[in-house]
Amino acid sequence: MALPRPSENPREPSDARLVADAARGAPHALAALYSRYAKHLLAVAYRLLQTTQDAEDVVHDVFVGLPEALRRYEERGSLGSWLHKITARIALMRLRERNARPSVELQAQSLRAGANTPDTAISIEQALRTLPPNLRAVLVLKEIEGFTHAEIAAMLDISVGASEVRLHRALAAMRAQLVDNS
Amino acid sequence: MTKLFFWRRRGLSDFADAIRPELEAIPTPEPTDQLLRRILASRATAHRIILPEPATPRPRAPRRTIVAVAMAASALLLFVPSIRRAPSAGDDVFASSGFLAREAFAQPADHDAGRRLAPVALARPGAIRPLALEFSRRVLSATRQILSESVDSLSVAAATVEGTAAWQVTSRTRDVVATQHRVETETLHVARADLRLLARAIHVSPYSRFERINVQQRFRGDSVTGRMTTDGPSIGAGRAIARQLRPELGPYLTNAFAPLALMAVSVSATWSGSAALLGWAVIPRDIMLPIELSVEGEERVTVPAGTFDCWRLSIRSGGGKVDYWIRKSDGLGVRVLDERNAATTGTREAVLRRITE
Repeated sequence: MALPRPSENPREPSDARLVADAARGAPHALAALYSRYAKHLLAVAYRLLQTTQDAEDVVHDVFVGLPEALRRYEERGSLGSWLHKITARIALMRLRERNARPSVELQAQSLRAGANTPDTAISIEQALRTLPPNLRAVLVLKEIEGFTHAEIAAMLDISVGASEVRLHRALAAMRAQLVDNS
Repeated sequence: MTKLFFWRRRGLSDFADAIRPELEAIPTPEPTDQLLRRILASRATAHRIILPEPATPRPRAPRRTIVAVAMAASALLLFVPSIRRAPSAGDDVFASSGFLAREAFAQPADHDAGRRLAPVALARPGAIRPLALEFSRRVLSATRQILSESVDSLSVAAATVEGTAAWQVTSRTRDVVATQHRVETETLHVARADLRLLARAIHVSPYSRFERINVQQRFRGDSVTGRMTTDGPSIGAGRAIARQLRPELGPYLTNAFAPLALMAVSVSATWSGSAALLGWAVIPRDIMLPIELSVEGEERVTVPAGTFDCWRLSIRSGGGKVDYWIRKSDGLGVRVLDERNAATTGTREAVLRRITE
């Protein structure tokens, strides 16, 4: 999944400028970063959590904590990549909290509107949603978000081997379900 | 259907390649102006969240390193019968945190440290009165930037416990721990006549992997009894609490009562005394933490609630020292400054924000 690129329009402030302003808590800089990155971050959180409410809560927490976090931010990679990793971590923390509370019903609903969507795509979305959360997390992080197994292992506090096994199981379960439905 | 036919025959990596475009095409929600307004409103109300660091992959240890570590671990297990473990994030450690000390992570129940100072004498119980307080609690970086901030409220009201005239002291702390909003409440009853502890209830939500932890304590003679339970998931009957509180280490102060305790003491420029902070008493290491308090000077202190002439005290426990300011007029706690972990987790400070009498 391609990360949003910093603006190349000279009229728009650079990421570095926005980072400096946002670190001082300037609302306009926070709003500009939101308009630049929120769509991508919301997508990451939604894919992991499968509910709009939870995904929005994660993005809320990311942006509320951003000014203080940016004071510790070191420009080693792109800002988008850094935000991507932090958002994934917070979403995974929320996922763990939710899994520890089995009484909470998942309110996952497809965001697809209308019936003119390809059947295969709907099946894949349904199959993804029916995966156990620990398998789905690895599948989403690896196949959609593009993290390496080493990065996923660090995020989930599991071994690289366990991450590979979970991905294998997730793909096998997806395939079995799609074949059964066909 | 053609695609599905091939999926049966090909490997999982081919299957992953085949479904990736469809996975990426699954719709996701659009960011809304409403969400942005919510974010900016949270910022405007001084709501602060500490974000986690991005996870860094751990290098794989070479096989010979793993073997060496395993051998060393075996040797330790053979020759060291027991090692007291510090709690880590994943453990179910049922223990308290506190107003005067960051963690009332107490000494073992058989703590035998000799006490150099006389016990704090709560000789003026009549000085405790109905009031409501608000404390602002902050963690500051080395450059005095606020890393996190929360507000504690505390109230004192008249009550009766099994026919005994009592004060009900209620404290409520709302903070954010690892992006999670947490609420901790303590309701303490002390006898009005002599301020002895009668009963205490603590609820923290969420706590570790639980939706809520509940600690109920009753105090009789030199004993604390009660029970700890959890909600979401429940651990059933929970854990029983039955500990001796050695009288010679008292008086015992709780998190809620700590800012009020010295209202009942006649403090002077040369005053000092010893007491113990009471933990939850669920695990052996969290029963009580002996402390020693000494006046070190007098200062005029300005906090959000006003400017007060104060006694500056040191609170010592083990090797650490916390600075504590109380009003000279009535002994009420005004400011706490804990710089013991300034270089690592930051300086912790609590200041009196509001007082209503």
